[in-house]
Amino acid sequence: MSQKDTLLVVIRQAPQSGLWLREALDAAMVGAAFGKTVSLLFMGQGVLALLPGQAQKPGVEKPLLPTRETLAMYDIQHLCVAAADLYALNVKADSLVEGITLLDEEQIRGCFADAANILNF
Amino acid sequence: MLLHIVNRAPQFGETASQALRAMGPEDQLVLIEDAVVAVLDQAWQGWALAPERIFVMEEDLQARGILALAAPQQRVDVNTFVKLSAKCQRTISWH
Amino acid sequence: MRYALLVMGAPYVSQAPYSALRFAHAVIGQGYDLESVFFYHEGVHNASSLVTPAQDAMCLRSAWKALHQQYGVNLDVCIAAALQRGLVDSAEAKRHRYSAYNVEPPFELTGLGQLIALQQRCDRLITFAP
Repeated sequence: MSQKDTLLVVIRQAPQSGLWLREALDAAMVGAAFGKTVSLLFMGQGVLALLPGQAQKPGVEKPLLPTRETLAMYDIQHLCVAAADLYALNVKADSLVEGITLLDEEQIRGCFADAANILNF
Repeated sequence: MLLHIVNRAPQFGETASQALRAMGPEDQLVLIEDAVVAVLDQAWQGWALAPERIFVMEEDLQARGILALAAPQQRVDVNTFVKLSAKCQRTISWH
Repeated sequence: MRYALLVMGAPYVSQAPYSALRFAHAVIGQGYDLESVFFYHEGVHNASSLVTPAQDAMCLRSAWKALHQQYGVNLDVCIAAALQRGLVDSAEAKRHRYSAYNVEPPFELTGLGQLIALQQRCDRLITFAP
């Protein structure tokens, strides 16, 4: 897989804010279906999407995040989060859904430097 | 080399600082729309971090009546904005 | 060099469409190809035939149409984002048995795959968001 085929999807908006999260994930899954190696990076208020057991809206049962299995089905394996933003929001890393890679600030810069394609939501 | 495009003022919200966090040593950054009011804040960390790699959209400064507050060498018009986007291989928009 | 634009802001409530149009004309003015403008998120509202601007405001829809007519720029609208926001073309209106539709050529409803393909095919994809 050449580097030209990488797609970084950045999720920064609060998870229940409009359709941002949903439409970012749609773009990620379509990118993966088109053969891109997709990474998801959660930054800012976007990190809150990684807390388990959330619903899209009060009273709407549908879960916020697709399950790991669904993401794996699309071959989306890399889910990363900005450690500094977790810290800023007082969210403990061990309270997140499983399988999330914590990135320090230098690694975050690396993510942006390496990605051939970026979609920032 | 990445061109970061920012459209929110650093004085309000974290968008502009997220862009700075993502910025590599050669990346360029252009402030457009509401982000141009960054020129009102000389203490903004961007100015100290990469003064020669940060640009401000002239038309948006003009529309907000603050054109004179931006240093002439930092102002770019839309044609220069396009040239910057052509020079940098990739762009990312922060909103 | 070939460009595409991604517009995610709605007309009259976000500056994104204005900035994108300004950028589009500068791209073309410098002799580059502008293949497509892709409308996603709130940007899909740019495609509505029923938006009626105030008398002193420029008509953004006409400006997009002119970009297509004069320079052959495609106006792609994400179908999923459009349907959720009440934007339908005649085919979708028929399928859902609606009495009206508000997306007409040169705006075309298309899938998100088109955005991924544009990003792959074009040298630059520039995003204008709210």
